[in-house]
Amino acid sequence: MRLIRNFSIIAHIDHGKSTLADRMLEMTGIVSRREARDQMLDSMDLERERGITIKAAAVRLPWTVDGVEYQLNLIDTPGHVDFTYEVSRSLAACEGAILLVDATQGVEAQTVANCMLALEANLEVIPVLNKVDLPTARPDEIAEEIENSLALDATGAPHVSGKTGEGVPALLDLIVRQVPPPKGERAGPLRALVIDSVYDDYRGIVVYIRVVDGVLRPRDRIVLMSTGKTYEVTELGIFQPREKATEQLEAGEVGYFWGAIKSLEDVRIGETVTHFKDSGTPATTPLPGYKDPQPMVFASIFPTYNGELPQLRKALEKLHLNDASFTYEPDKSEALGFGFRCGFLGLLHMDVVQERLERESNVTIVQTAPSVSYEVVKTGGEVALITSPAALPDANFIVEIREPIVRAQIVTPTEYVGAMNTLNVTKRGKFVRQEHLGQSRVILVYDVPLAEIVYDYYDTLKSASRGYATLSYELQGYQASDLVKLNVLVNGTPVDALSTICHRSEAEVRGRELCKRLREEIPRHMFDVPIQAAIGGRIIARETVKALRKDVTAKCYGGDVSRKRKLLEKQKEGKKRMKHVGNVEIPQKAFLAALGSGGDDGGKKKKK
Amino acid sequence: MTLAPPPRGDGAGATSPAALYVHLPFCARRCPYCDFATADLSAALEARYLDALEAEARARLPAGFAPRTVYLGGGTPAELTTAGIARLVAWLGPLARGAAEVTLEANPRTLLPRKLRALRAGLGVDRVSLGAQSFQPRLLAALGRVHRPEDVPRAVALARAEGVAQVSLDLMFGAPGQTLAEVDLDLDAALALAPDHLSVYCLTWEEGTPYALARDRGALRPRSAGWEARAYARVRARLRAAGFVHYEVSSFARPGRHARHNTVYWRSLPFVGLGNGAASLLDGARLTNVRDPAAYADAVLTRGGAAAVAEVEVLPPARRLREAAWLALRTSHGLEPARLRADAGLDPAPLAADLERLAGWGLLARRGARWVLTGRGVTLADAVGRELLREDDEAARAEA
Ligand SMILES: Nc1nc2c(ncn2[C@@H]2O[C@H](COP(=O)(O)OP(=O)(O)OP(=O)(O)O)[C@@H](O)[C@H]2O)c(=O)[nH]1
Ligand code: SF4
Ligand SMILES: [Mg+2]
Repeated sequence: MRLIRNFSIIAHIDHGKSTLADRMLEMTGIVSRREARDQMLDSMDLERERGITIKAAAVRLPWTVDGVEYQLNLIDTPGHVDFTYEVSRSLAACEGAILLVDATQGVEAQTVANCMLALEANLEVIPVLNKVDLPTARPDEIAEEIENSLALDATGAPHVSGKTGEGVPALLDLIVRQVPPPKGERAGPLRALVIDSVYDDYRGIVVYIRVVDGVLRPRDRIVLMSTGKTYEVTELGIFQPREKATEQLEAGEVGYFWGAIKSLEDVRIGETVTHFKDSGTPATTPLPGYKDPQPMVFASIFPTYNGELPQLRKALEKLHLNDASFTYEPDKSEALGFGFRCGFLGLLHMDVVQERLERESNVTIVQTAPSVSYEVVKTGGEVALITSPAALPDANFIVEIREPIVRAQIVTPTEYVGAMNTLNVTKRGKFVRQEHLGQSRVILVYDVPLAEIVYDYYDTLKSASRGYATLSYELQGYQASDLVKLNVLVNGTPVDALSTICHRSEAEVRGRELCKRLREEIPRHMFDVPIQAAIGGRIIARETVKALRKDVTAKCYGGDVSRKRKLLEKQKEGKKRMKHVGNVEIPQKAFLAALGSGGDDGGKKKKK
Repeated sequence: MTLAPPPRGDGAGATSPAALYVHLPFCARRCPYCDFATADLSAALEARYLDALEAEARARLPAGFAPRTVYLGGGTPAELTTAGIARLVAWLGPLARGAAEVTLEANPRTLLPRKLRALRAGLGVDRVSLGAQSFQPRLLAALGRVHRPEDVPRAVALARAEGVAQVSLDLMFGAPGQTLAEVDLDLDAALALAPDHLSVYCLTWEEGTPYALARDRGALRPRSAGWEARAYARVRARLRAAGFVHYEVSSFARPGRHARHNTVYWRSLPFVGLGNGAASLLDGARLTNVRDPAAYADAVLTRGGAAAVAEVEVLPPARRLREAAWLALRTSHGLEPARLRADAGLDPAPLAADLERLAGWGLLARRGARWVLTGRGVTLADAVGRELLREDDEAARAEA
C-alpha cells in the first residue's frame, strides 16, 4: 500500500486533462505508440466526436522512482459543469489531485470550482501549468493567478505539455513524492467504495470500486451495505486501460468487479461493499459515500410516432443502466401524447442523453424545451415540487412559486466587469462578491435563478465577453419569485408542450420571442397558421405563419408520373418527423423554441 | 412486357391502350435546365437507336394495335436526319396514319420545311408543339436555347402553310432575373401568333442539372415563390381573357383544342411509350424504360425488345387510387368518381375525408359530381398531392 498513489486530473474544460493522461499512458508503457490514439480514455463515441470527456475514467500505471516501482491509479475527469458530480466521486477515490491549468488561458471558473472540491475532500492538490509548448503560454503570470485565487503554492508548479510530453516524467515523480499513499487497513474487514458502474448484456452490472480496507478476490461473496443484498464476485480486475482480470484487489487499489448484478438500483454510486460473513469479516460502519447527483433541468421526450412508446421506454431503461444520473418518469401531453419527463444534470447532459437515445434505439423523438423544477405552495398549504410547466396548477390555487437559485462564479478579464454586471441585472442576478485574480482578471460571484442559466445566460455571457468569461455554478436553494405560466396556442389550439414558466417582468418579451421563433420553425401550410402567446386568457403576443404561396410542379406527363409521385411521397415522408397538432405539422425543433439562444453547452456542441 | 391481353385483375386497365408515345432523344444542344433523357445528335447513334425503337415496337406492340393518339416527343424529334425520318416512317407510318391526333415536338429554329413535309406525309402529323419558351433574346440566352425570337413566327407560319391543323407553343416563366413585365411581353408575342394551344411552364430547378448546380454555387438566384405565384396568376388571367381554357396546371387551349394525348396521362388511362426513358401504363402497372439512349439501344439490340423496360412498378389499388386522384385534380375536369371507376376501375370513396379536409382549407370545391381545385388549390397542387398521396402514417408503420 505504501507503493500506491491514487490521483485525479481536474481542470477547466479543454485545459488538456485527457491529453496529459495520454502522455502518462505512453510514458509508463501501458500503451504502445502504435496503439495510442488521442484522448484514449474518452472511449464513448460521443466523447470522441465532441472532443470532451463525459465520464470519468480510471487507469493503473506502473512508475519507478529511485529503483522502486509504484502503482499509480489515475482518474481522468470531465471539465464541464454538468459533470461536476463525476469529479466529486472521482476525488472520493483519491488522495491527490493534479489541478491542471492551461498556461495560455489561466484560472477559469471550473478551475476554481474543481479545486474547491478537491480541497474540501482533503486531497493533496498539485497545481500544474499545461500547454507550455505554445508561444502564448504565460506560466509565471498564471502561477501568480493560482496563488492569488486558490491560495495554493504555485511557485514551483511543474511546467508540462500534454502535447510534447515535456515535463511529464518529472510530474509522475512528483506525484509519487507528494501524493500520500492510501491510509486503509489491508488486514481489516473489506470496505470498498462504489465509484461508478456500467452495464453490458453479458456481464450485467460491472461495478467500479476503490478498495479502502481489506482484500477482495474472485468467488468472494459480498454484501452491499445499504441494502444488505449479496452477490458472488465472478471476476475482478484493473484498468490498463482496458479491463484486465486479476487475482485480487486490495486496500488502496482501484478496479472493477462483476457478478450477476442485474439492476442498477441495487448498486448505488457511493455504496460500500463488504464481505458476506462466509467470505470474511463484514465491516460494521460504511464509508461516508456521497449524495446522488440532483437533476437540474427537465424536459419531456416523446416518440414521434406514438406507436414507438415501448421502444422508447426500453431505450431509456437501457441508457439509464449506464447513466444513473438522469431520471425519467411517465408523462402525458395533450398535444404530444404519452412520453417521459426526464431530469438531467444540465443542458449538455440533456443533449448527450438525447443523442444517445436516438442513436442507440433508432426511435425518433420529440423533445420539449428544458425547464427547471419549482416548489409550488398551494392554497391548502402543501408544497409540491413540479418539474414541468404543464404541471403548474391553476393560478387560483397557488400561494407562492419558488424557483431554484444557483451561485454562479464568473471568471472574466476586468474590462468585461461592466458587461457582466449588465448581464446580471437583466438576468435577475444578485451580486455576492468580487475577487481579484491577478492584474487583469476577476472572479465575480452572483446568485442567479437557474431558469435564466437554462434560458440564454451562458450564450449572453460568452458574447458579452467575446468568449473570455467562464462560468461555473452550484445549486443554492429555492426562492419565492413572481412567476407566471406562458401558454402557446397554435392555430387556436393550446399546445401544452410549448408552454413555459417565466418571471412576470419578462413575460411579454419572452412571449414575443417565442412566437417569432415558432413562426420561423413551423413550415408554411396550405392555410395561415396563427401563433399566440397568452398568460391566463390574455393574449400577449401573436405571429402568423403565412400560407404557402406556390407549390406546384409545372410538368406532369406520362414519364413524369412515377418520379413526381415518388418525390411527393418522399417529401411527405420527410414531414413525418413532425408532430401533428390538429392540422398543423410542428417540426421537432419548434418544441425547443422556448429555449433561449441555445443555452449553456459549454461551447462544446459544435466542436468536433 | 407486351400488350397481350392482360390477366383480368381488379378491373384496372381493362381497356387497351389508346395512346402511343415515341421518344426521340436527340437535341442539337442540351439546355442547362433540362433533365430529360436526351442525347447529342450523332448519325451513328441515331441509326442504332431507330433500329432499337422498331425492335421494341415489334416486341411490345400487339398485332392490330391502333392508337388514337401518337406523340413524338424528346429531345427534338423534328431534328431526325432525313434517313432517320424514312427509317421511322417505315414502321410507324401505318400505325400513326390511322390516329386522330399526331403531335410533333419541334424547335422553332430547327423545324425545316423538308422534314416537316416528310413527317406529315409519312406519319400524318397534324399538331406541332413548338418550344418557344420566351421572345426575349436575353432570356433565351439565359435559358441556353439555340433559337432566336424571330424563329417562332417563322416556324408557326411554316406549320400553317404545310397544313398542320393545330399549333401549340411552350412558354416558360421564372428564369432568374425575369420581370413580370417580361412575362407580359412573352404573352403578347405568343398571343399575336394566335396559337391553338399554349403550355406555360414555371421553370423547375431539377436536381443535378447545370442550372441547379449554378444555383447551389450561388451563381443563379431563383425567383421567389411569391414572384412565381404572381407570374402564374398573371398568365392564367391573361390567357383566360384571351379566350383560352385553363384545363391543366400548365396547359391552356382554345375551346376544343386541348391535347388529347396528354389527357390520357391525366386520366390514368393506359398508354404505351417506346424509346429510352419512356413510360407506359399497362394493366395498372407503371413501366419505365432504360433511361440512357445508348444503353437502351444496346439492351434492345442484344437482348430483344422486351429488354427496353427497366422498371415495373405495380401499385396496390389504394396507392393507385391516390395517384389517380392527384393526377385528375391537376386538370380542370377534376376528380369525377364515376369516371375514375370507368377509366381505372378505382373507387374514390376512401378519399372522402381527405377531400373534405382540403375543401375546408379552401383548396378544393365540389362542382356537381366532381371535385376540382380552386384557384388557390391550383397554385398549391403539389401540396394537395402530398396530402392525398399520404399513407396512413401509423397504420403503414404498424404493418412494416
Ligand atoms: N498545444 C497544446 N495543446 C494541448 C495540450 N494539451 C491539450 N491540448 C489540446 O487542447 C484541447 C483539449 O484537450 P483535452 O485533453 O481534450 O482537454 P480536457 O481537459 O480533457 O477537456 P474536457 O475533458 O472536455 O474537459 C485538444 O485540442 C488538445 O489537443 C498541450 O500541452 N499543448
Ligand atoms: S431542346 Fe428540349 S429536350 Fe432538348 S435539351 Fe432543350 S429542353 Fe431538353
Ligand atoms: Mg477530457
